[in-house]
Amino acid sequence: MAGLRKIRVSGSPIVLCRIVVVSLLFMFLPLQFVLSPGAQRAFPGEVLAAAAETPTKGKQLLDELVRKAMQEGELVATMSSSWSKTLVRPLGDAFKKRFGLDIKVTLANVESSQHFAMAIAETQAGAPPTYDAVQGTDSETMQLHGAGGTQRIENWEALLAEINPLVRSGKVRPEEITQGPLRGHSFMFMANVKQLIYNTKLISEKDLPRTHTELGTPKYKGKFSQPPWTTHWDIGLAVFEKPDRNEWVDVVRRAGKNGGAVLYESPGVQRVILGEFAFVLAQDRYMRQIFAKDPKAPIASRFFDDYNGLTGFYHSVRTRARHPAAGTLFALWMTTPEAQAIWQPSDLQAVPYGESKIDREFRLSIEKSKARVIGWLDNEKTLELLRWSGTEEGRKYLEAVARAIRGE
Amino acid sequence: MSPFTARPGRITTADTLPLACSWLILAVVIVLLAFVLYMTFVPSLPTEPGFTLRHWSNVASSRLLTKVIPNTAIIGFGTVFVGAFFALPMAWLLNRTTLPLRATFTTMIGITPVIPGFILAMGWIMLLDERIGLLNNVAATFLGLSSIPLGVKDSPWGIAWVLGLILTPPIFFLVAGPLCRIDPSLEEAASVVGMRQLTTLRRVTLPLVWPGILGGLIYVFMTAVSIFEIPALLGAASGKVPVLASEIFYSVRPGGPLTATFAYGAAGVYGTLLAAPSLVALYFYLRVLERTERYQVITGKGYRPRETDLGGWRWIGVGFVVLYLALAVGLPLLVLVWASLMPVLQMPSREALLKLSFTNYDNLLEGLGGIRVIWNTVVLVLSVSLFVSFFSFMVSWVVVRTRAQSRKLIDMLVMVPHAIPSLAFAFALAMLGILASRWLPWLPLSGTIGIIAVAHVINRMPYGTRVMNSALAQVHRELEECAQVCGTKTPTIMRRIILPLIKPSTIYLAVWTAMLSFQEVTMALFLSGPHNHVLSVSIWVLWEGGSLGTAAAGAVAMVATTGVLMFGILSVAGGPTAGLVGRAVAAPALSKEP
Repeated sequence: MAGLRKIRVSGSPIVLCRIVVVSLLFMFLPLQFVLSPGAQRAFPGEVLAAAAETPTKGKQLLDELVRKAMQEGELVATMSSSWSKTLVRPLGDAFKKRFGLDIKVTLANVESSQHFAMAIAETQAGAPPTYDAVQGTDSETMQLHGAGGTQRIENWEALLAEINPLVRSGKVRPEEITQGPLRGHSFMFMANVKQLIYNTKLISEKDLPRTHTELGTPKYKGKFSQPPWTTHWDIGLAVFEKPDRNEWVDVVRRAGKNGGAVLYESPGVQRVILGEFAFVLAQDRYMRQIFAKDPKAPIASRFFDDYNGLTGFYHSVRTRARHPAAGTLFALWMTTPEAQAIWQPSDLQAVPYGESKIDREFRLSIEKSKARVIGWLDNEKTLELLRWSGTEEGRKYLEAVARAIRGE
Repeated sequence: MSPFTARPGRITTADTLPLACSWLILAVVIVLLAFVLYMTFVPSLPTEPGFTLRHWSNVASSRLLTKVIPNTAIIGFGTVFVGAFFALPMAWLLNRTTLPLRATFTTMIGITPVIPGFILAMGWIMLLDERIGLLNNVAATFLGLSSIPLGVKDSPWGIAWVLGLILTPPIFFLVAGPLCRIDPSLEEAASVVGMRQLTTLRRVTLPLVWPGILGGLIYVFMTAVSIFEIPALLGAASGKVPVLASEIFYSVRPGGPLTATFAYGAAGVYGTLLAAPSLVALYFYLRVLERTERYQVITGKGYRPRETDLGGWRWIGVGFVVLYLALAVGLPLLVLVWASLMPVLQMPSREALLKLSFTNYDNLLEGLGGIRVIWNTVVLVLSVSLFVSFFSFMVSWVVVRTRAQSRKLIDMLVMVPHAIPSLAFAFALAMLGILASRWLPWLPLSGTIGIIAVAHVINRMPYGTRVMNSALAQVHRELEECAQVCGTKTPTIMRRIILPLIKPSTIYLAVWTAMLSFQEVTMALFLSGPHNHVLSVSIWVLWEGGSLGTAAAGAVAMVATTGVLMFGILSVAGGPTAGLVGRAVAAPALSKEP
């Protein structure tokens, strides 16, 4: 086996120990476990051999990538528009330190919904991208991916395992970070779940709408705000057995006409706190952010009973990036607890596969509420919907949803 | 041959430099305009083949005719009405009467544009809203009602009110100049024949400054119909009060992540639709200027304007100015300071008072992006200010001082950018930047301070040339002719004679342009890249990202800096602040050559 040959060459005592352990496992593990029909698991011997092999292969690949990144001399990447600019330096410094890089790192706050349109235009025009690595939601990333704007990372499995200790240790499966059509192209580093945030002085929990359809009822006329983007609605189609797309647009339109305002989520939350609106369609992050600033703020949150969309945020390396190796290192490093420990304390957004207090509470709150949380990469149906949304027909449909949000 | 003895239509050697500079800047304008128009006929990016009318047919809808255009018209005319209501009396009070504190009042009016529009909109929601409005609550308590159904949201009239307050200063300054230069002998003659003061004002003064007023009103109309952020916050983004500016916004800034592509042609179509009423207004404005001979009693020297003693009425005058300043400057500044001291913005209450702190000011510089953002802002503001002053001077020289056949065309073309929404220009520039990075990779355009500077310079040229046209028109040609006779060349005449004479106007233009560049968000945000973030964009990003407190703290710092700088520069450069801002440098709209 090539892997074993490599192990022999390495000559490390640790590696030799691993060979012994692997041999013992071969001898003592029950055969039916190994050969159970339909099992997706790899042969345990292979698993461990791969584990023995991956660090070596991963290390070699990583070293090569680091060498290329050093040659490139620079990295230009985006970070979330909601992240504080005070994160730029610590993130850049930690990134360079992790890989021993001596390069110029530029991180810019960018509103992804705007930049991705620009990035797609750059790709269509055949122009070099402004940024080497970009962050965006799963659906934005899918659009960029569909336009040919993201670059697949070769040997990403080995590199991810080498860079991310959670993957290396087996605590996190690679599919939790990259999967479906984005597999190998884009790597999730944070997520949020949609929910209602309401002013406790203006409306009680029991008076809140239970489903998205209820937003169109006269009871809530002018009482809520929602953002102009479609993420609160589009995934709704995936939760119905037989979705009727036109009917769903009507539901959105009724809610749009019934709403008090269409505002970005953050200003919407502000105006709920001011008391102008009773509730807003927003996301869990704002609750943490507001309470961190003012624990007595008169707000609370609730999940919808029908569904609550989970939005994942991914880093992707751009096609024709000027500094692809540095971009690759950054995209993979952003999935690590090391990077998370820098940005999460100020942004307070959760990492679904993470182990921090915020991450655990994030999962616990969903479990406790028994809310139906659904993400784009959850199953074949959502993936199919995501792919469809990238088609001409899908885009037109979503434009209709966006107009319906504004009551048109 | 001197430009003054040249026959009409002949271009002399002396005209070459100003003409070349004029056409250089106009070439950029023409390319951008052509690009915006061209994009309305191609299916997607201009690099892809094909011709289509789809973009035009897509935007044509009954909603456009029944909602979008009427709302835009109401907001345009309503803003003009509100702006004129405050600006015209104030222009007279602060320039032609003995009102106390004129210098301070004038400078405070000058500071108004620096206050971010979204803060002003938030302030008005806090003040006038059926649910939370402080005024509504006071009035409801006083009248014994549960609520007062009055607000600025979801109504074109409410939007026009807020926009009118914001756009009062341009009308004020555009009218102040002509008001200062009216020959007092005419008013004295009216007085001799027994006209009362009010009648003199109505029958003599107002008609004399009519071109200035019209210029100001048209300028404000054109600005009001293309502003997005304030209508958006007050109802346009919700689709309740759709306007052309919100339609263009949604075509170039997609509605959501799943529609992450530009509606390439639609931006141009809406831009053209927005330009149409503005161009009609511009036509009438130029028609008025054609007949400026009627108003040529307005000269630049040889008299001191007569100041009316208001007697006991002056306190009513002071009250009127204070009312405006309270509504347009005091209220938003209070909201700004309040928001900067609150952890999370809440309505004023005893409980909220206990939460006040300076936490948002901690690490403010770093939170705004550090020295780099400050440096970018300084470079942008200074370069835009310099280029606008330079190119405006050159264009105005051609228009006012030469006999070049193309001068009228130049004067019209330079005004056109004001008719096109800034977002459409920014979009066209961004697309050109992308194409340039492919075809001309050596050209540093996309993502640089330069691309924002180009957008700002083009956008400010209409105003700059109005100021310069008027300033040059005031300077008699005899001075240049003397220098010419002595063998002095045109560049030297410009530098040694003309520029010192129009120094106040130039300083005013430079400072005003710098201030507008300092606070401009829309174009800077759209054209921002990794290396060209400026302060206004940082504040906007903070606000949009949920850090309203830090954004407000940044805005407080921005307003304070601008205020101090404005006082400082104007005081050092040209004497009394009021004299600079309100009189000698006030930007008149009269561009007719003498």
